[in-house]
Amino acid sequence: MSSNSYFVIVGTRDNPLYEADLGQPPPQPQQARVADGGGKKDEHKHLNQFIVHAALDVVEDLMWGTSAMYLKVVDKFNEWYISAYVTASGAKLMLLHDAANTDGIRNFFQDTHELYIKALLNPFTEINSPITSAHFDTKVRALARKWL
Amino acid sequence: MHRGEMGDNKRVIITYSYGPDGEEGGVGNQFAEELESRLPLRNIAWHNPLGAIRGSTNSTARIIGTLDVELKRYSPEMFPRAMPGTLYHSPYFLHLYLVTTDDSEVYKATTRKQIQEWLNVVANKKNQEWLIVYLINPDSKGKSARFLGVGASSVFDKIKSDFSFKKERCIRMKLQNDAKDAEAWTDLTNHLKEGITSSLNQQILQYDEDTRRIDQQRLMPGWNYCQYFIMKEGLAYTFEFMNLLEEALLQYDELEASFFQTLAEQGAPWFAKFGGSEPDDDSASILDLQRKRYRDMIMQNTISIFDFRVYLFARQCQLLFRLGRPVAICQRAKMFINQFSRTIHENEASIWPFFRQAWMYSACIQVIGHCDELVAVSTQQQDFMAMYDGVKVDLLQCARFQLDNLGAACGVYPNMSNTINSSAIGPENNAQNGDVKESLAKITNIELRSSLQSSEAFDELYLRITSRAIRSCQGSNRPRTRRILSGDLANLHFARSRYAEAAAVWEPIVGQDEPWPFLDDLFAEKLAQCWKMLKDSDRYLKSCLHLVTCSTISAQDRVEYYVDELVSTSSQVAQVLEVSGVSILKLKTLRFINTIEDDGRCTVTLNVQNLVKEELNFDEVIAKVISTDGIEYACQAQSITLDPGTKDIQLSGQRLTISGTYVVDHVTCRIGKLRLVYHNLGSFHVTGGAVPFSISAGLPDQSLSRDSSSMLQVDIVTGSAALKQGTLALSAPTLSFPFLKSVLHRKSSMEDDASHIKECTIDTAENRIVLPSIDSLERLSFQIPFQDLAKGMESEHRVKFSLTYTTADGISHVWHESKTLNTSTALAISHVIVHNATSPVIRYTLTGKRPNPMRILGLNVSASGAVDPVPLSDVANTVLYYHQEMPVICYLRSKELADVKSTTSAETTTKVQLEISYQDLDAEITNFFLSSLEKLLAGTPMIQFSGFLIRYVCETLVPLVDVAQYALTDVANLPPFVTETVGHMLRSEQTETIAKIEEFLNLFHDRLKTSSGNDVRKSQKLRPRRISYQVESPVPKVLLAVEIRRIDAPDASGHLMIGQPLKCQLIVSPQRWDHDATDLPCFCEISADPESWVFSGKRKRKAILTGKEPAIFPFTIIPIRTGYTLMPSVVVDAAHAKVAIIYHTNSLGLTVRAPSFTTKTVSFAT
Repeated sequence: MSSNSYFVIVGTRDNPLYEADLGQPPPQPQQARVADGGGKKDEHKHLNQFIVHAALDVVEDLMWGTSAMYLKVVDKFNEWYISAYVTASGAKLMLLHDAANTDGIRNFFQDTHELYIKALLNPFTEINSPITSAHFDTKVRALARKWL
Repeated sequence: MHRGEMGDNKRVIITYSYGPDGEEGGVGNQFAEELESRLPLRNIAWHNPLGAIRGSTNSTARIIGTLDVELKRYSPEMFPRAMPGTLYHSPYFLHLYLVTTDDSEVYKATTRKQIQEWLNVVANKKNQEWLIVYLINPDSKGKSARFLGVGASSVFDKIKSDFSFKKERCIRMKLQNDAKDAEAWTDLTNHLKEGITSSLNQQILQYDEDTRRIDQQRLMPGWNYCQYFIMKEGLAYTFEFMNLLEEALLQYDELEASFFQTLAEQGAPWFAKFGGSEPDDDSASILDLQRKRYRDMIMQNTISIFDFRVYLFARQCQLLFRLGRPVAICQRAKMFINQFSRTIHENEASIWPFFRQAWMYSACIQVIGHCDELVAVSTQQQDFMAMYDGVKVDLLQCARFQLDNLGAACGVYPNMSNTINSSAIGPENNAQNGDVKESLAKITNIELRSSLQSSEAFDELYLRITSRAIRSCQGSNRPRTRRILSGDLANLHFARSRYAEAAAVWEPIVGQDEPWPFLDDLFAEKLAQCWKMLKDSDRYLKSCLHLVTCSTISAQDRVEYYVDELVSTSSQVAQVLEVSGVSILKLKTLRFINTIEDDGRCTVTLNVQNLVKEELNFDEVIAKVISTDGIEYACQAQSITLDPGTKDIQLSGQRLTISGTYVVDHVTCRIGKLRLVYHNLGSFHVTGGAVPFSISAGLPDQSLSRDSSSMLQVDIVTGSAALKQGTLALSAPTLSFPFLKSVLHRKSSMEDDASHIKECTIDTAENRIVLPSIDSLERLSFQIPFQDLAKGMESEHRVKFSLTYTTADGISHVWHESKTLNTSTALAISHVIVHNATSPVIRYTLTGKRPNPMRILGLNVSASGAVDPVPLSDVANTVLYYHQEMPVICYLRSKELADVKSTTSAETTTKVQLEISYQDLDAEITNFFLSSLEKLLAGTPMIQFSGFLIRYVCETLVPLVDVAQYALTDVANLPPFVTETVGHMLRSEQTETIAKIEEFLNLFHDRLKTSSGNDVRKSQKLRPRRISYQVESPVPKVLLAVEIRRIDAPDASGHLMIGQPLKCQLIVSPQRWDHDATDLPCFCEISADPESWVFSGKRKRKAILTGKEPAIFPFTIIPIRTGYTLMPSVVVDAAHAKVAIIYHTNSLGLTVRAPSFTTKTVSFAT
């Protein structure tokens, strides 16, 4: 299934560690807007961040009510779904997507979680520091192609 | 909205009926009333007959808490005509027939027939139960007793036998209006409960069978979902009757699921149209079940999808409402509204534009309003309220988005970027303006429509909803959503140019530790614009600062803009803005140098990294340096330009005088009134620079030997700089300095000695001695008493001097230093006075008490009274070593008679004072080196390091010289210069300075490799130290001469033979007799060595001397040893102070010989 999605890993201090636009960027709002410095893509990224950021509130509500890591779809925003996955350490994997694909997303989250753990195993990685590894990025995108 | 629409009055009905016997005396009515008063029924145990089938979670009995039951009088017409598949759901569960007669005849005649008639109707009713109650009338109690119970039992038995069924449907009730009644009633209600549950279960099974049957036919042609729905809803209603709301809800959930299933499988051919086109559809309450005749429409298959979904949802909500679950209502509403809005979107062609938004808005607001009512009347836990607030936020947000969209469509919603709903502007926007207006006019929600008329009204509604959502966010602990909503709110204000309001909203959000930098960036930039518009430069400055440091600003032009703004605003602001640790700069202290020049400064070199990609101009950079004692110093630099990247800057400040560890506490970088403060920039060990004076302490220059009072002399000698004022405090662990009120001080110029010696008092304050102003090249001396806590056990004491002083340029300094003082006297002096006939002689013994040798420069003996001391030893320029004793003999010559006369009358004793001037050899060498240094420095540029060099000489050089060797050989040898010796003193110095100093010191060492004592002494300018020693030499009034005289003349040879008695006389003859008394008793004792002499006579005698003639005591001694033998010694003790005695013969001796034998040879003839 191909879809547009935005993936972000949020650290335990509520800071984004890794962000990726997976697939094609979501449709642009048709209303023309005054561009002030940032391009349209930037603005769209903002929107995604807005949605995911607000959904973190819901995740924090839900994460204590279940022992499962995968919280499924936690919130909807217009035609967008937000799926979340909370790791044992409290890092949150958030995916903004436009098509329901529970199992695919579960697999994607599980594999990304493993990748994240591998990244953390690096002795030079500090917890809650942004993940800048290109290798990590490539792998995540490959997983997205595989599962989403 | 009112509660009625949700809480339809649906109650289980129990009918009752009785014959004429019941009418009699109103027994039937009474019974009915009594029964009614015992309603509703409580705690009905119920087993779901479908439980096992449907896999219900609780297979055990469910308890229905309360069940509202309506009691109705039976009439055969009360049953509506029921048709299969109709909407009718029978509320009748149980029928009662009351028999009160105890007369079997009456029973047989009428009652039986009536019961039969009743039963004919009732028993045929499907799934309804009946019960015959035989009431034993308490009034007929006596009657039945008369019949011994036969009659009574016979009626009941007859009923039983007449209407016998498997189940017990006949009960007997005996009411006696006493306590036993309660039992009877309990029995009856149990039967009622049983009957009702039995009826219920039958109904359930019936419905279940029916619906299952219909469900199985699902794929058959002509199957209708509506029929299925009605059937299943019947079951739901039945559950609802019984207050089994959860079960009822389950039915609706199943219905909803099957709706989607059939929709997916077969589409929705049985729905006439999509619907939503009726007036008020967009705004009417979605929870209002009475708005349309939904059920009829379903029955008639004329319902639209829209109405159907609304009805289904409303029913679910109704049940949840009765269950008291507002959270669930909101959750379902959110899901339903979102889901159904998509369906509306898909069917947009059949309805007018904006219907969807208007409907969503209305639906959300209605559900919230409804749930708010429910929450308001119930008392809920805090957790629950948080959950409720959480779901409320979602709905309010959803409503707000619709408002945004509608507002945007009609142009009252301003263009706003960077809000969460920035993409929510619908595609309808493309429609023609006229169409839009037309469509918007169709909105029937009055509030919504009026808000779209003007931007003011729109704002009002927008702000109201958003504020409500924000409040709920607070309640539900959703900080992020709240922040975003607040941002939206402020955005609207901003777009409407209400900057103050916008800023008020943004201000608390911005600047918090926001982990999502993009949000912070967005808000901060807008906030900055607000402040700019509001001309609030103080806050604008803060915002600019925040933006400049914000990590997400990447565009160069933005950085440039805000840096320019920052700089221009920083000069305009009214208040100084001090911020610490801002990531504009990164500072590191590279070096901390306290230069050793005399007018040197303290220099701090900072490595500054400009993290902003823009040039920054700082007006001033100040580093605050703090010593370990907490004293602050400042180093600064003006006008510093920092390009992006790193740069080293130098700050300079007042020179540090005290060695120690210094902490660069903080650095303040100032642009206009903006101060960027950076803390904790490391600590450094700094060698304190030389002070422009020298301070020394020791025993007073002029001291008296055997002086018991302890005084410490402190000398402060200024160099080229004068001290305006200062205070001095001394402290030592082993010494205590008593508190003084004032100290006598002495000031003298260095250049011409004793030119202006002034003595005046110095005040003390807080146990610090307040120093007067000291001009250049002056010596200030004063003495302060001290107490030796070690009581003379230790002679070395470590004393800390702490001095605060102000130099002529008005800068105050602090300086302290510890020095080791030696409080032992340099010389010990003792004396012996020897009298003789003419004049006495004083023999002094000087003993060196210091490890370092000293040079005796000269001595001066002075005396008062009738003697004139004449020193007989020349000790000038002799060196006295440690523990060495040096005798000094002084002859006290009597003065001329004329002089004597003038003085003797006044004085009876003579005081002889010995004053020895001396110099410590190490001081001599130090002085020599210093004067050599002075000569060498004169006129060279190296003079700027004089302070350092002097210190080097005193502290490093002098200890290198072997003073003992100098004392012995009179040659001072200076070892060659070794670089390491100055290394630690120059640790923080610049390399070129170190090189210069090393070169100079090499030369210095070379020049002074060997210096002769003469050179050293020639250069001395030091005042010699002096020590005085006073002897009180009494002028004796009586002078006795003691003499042992031999009476018998010795033989010609003058020798004495062994064994030859020697007659002697002890003669005590007064030489001078000024005594008033004529008699002076005295004791004489002759002590002869018993190995040498045999003594004959009185050894001890008492004599009375008269002063006129000598006392003579004869005695005899016989030598018993040959050889030179000392004569017996005499001690005369006159018990008077003013008696002096001269022993003339105490050390006289003579030679004793063996007697000379003459040998004669005598021969005897035989």
